[in-house]
Amino acid sequence: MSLAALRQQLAELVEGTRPALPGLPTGFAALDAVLPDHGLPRGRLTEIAGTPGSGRTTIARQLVATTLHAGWWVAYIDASRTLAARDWAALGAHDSLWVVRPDTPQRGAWCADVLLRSGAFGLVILDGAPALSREIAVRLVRLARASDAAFVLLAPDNQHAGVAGALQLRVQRARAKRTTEPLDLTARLEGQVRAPASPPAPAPMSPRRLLISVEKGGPPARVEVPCAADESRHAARGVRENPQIPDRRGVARRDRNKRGARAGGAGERAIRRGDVALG
Amino acid sequence: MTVAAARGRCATLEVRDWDELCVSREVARTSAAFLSASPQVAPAAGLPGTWWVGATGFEALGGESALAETLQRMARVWHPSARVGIADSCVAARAATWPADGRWRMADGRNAGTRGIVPSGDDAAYLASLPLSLIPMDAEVREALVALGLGTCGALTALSGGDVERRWGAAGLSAWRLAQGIDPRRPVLAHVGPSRQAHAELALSTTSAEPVLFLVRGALERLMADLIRDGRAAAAVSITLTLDDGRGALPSGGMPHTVTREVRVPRAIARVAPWFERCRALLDTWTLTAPVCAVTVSITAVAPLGAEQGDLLAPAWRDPAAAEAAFERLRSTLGARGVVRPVAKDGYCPEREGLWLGLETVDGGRWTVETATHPPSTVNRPPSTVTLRLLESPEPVTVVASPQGEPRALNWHHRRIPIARARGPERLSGEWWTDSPFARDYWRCESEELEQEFLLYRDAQGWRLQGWYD
Repeated sequence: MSLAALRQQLAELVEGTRPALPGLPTGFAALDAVLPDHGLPRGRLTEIAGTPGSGRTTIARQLVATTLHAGWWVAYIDASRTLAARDWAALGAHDSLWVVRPDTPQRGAWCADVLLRSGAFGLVILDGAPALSREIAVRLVRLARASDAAFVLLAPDNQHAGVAGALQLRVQRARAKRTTEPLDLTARLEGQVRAPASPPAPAPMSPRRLLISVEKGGPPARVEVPCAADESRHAARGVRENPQIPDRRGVARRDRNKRGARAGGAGERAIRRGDVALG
Repeated sequence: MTVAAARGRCATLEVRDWDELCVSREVARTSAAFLSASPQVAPAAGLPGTWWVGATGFEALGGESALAETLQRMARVWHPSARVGIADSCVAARAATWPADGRWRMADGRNAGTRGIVPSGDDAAYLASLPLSLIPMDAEVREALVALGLGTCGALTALSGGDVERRWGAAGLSAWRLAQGIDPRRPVLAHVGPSRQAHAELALSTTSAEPVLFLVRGALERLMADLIRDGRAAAAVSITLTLDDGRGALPSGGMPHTVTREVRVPRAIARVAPWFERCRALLDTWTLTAPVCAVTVSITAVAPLGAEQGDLLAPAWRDPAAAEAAFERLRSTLGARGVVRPVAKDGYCPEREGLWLGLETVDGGRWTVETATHPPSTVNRPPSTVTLRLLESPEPVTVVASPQGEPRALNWHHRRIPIARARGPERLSGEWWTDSPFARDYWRCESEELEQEFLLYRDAQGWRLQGWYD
């Protein structure tokens, strides 16, 4: 038997005994339960699709937090440069989190290439990059497979990389019952509604629940996960004022005077248009 | 020698920028050449262009004068007026190189000989008449000696050693000893390590980096395999590109035009992949003036191979050297703020509640961020909270508002977005003590049509869209 044949046999043996890699937990137990590897598959592409505002970033942040907590290195490519540092600061204490912000969204795929090729990261997330061509997507998946990394692509709805074996998840906001009475716009248009005597209570935002569907790469399933609303602004520092009371802040007064002098900025036009439409 | 004087000797002289790597390479070449004359060769520390060469045991080979002649002939390949001095001590030997005609006189009037050869045992007598400026010493001691009117080595040695030590301490005593020819410096046996260099020529000159990288990878694989076999790791790698600008093909047989760059790592490693990524990062930012026709990869610094091991049984263990290499590549292309880490800070406006700070690597595989100028925030958001996405600069939008100022519809990117619910205003103002004070009315507006929640504000300039919750 030749040496090459022996090597081949050994390689097959080693490959055959290689244990199946467990998935990376997503941080949502309900979602982990329906995913094939009980988490995001490693060495494969996971596409998380959804409209802007659907909750993709919240899912991604939970995923990053869970992966960092498990001791993995994580790279997040913010190709659109729209992540807010304040929301990610709690995770920034980890040594093993890198956020890569390329100068143009087109460079996002190149960054993913470098990060996956290094083999140092357990999770690489590409967010906000333009649609990947099939060739580039296949190459990135190959690199992810070589480094056993979970490669996650955050993409708009209906923008799929078209790679075989990819796991496709779709995120959307679950419809919630309205907690406030609908606005009677007709009445306001007719001028029948007067300004309230007391300051109106702020309308609570709709409670958030995210609906995640497994569309491809696993058994079709749909799970609903909770998501806390960001009430920190209004709860902690918000000053709810009666819009009837004039703004007496010094800076605002100074700015208003300037605006008056200019008489016709974009904001003024907007207000006037609002008056015409609804007043 | 001035540039003009050098041009007078060589009309085709090429003046280049100072290149430390090039100088160290030439020092190594000169040392290697001197080794054919003597087994003890050491470049003098702190004295560029000076070598200590062992001169004992040459009686059967023509003596010291034959050695001096041989060394002078070799050295003049590099410098037209190279000088040689031989003495019992390094300090006297260096002093013996100074007279242009090689005819220093002894203190008693005897001729010290040609080529600056000081007879054995006469170092103190030879140095006695020489100026103190030939003795390396502390500047403060030198000033004090000059102020005392001591101008020659003999005048210094005439003082009592105890007095010198009491007055100027160890520095003075060292100078006093050197003035007598008592010098602890000695040439040492030269150690020539294996050549860690790989050279490859391209079949066709190229302006593209890919063929060069192909050769670099092959060279690195070979060199790293040799290093591992010797139990060493590379701490610095240099890449020399030979440019095809016709200089090497001159009839005068000029040297080919080469450019060299070096890559250093904080911890020596002997793995190909991290080194290749660093070399690729170097080549990505290397602007060349001519096509490349050959590549030389050299390992310029080595260290013992580290015995540290990763925890191969921990699935999350990753190679820090690989991360460092990827970091270097990203940073070389994206700049210092390409790889960042989020830091919270106390602020009122959403864009001032956090910062992106550039990531920096520190020795030992640890990472840190650039120094923050703001105190950290104490606000902690749980990961399951809805996340805000901020536009880099707020975009002006047209808003249809109610008489009370509540947004009802939003025109953004040529699209009208009806707003089902709006919450606000949250009136924020501040930083009136700076050049950019702000006074904004913030509104959180929910669109049922798009299932999206926007963050708008209105200030003196009008309505702006700052971001959305995702």
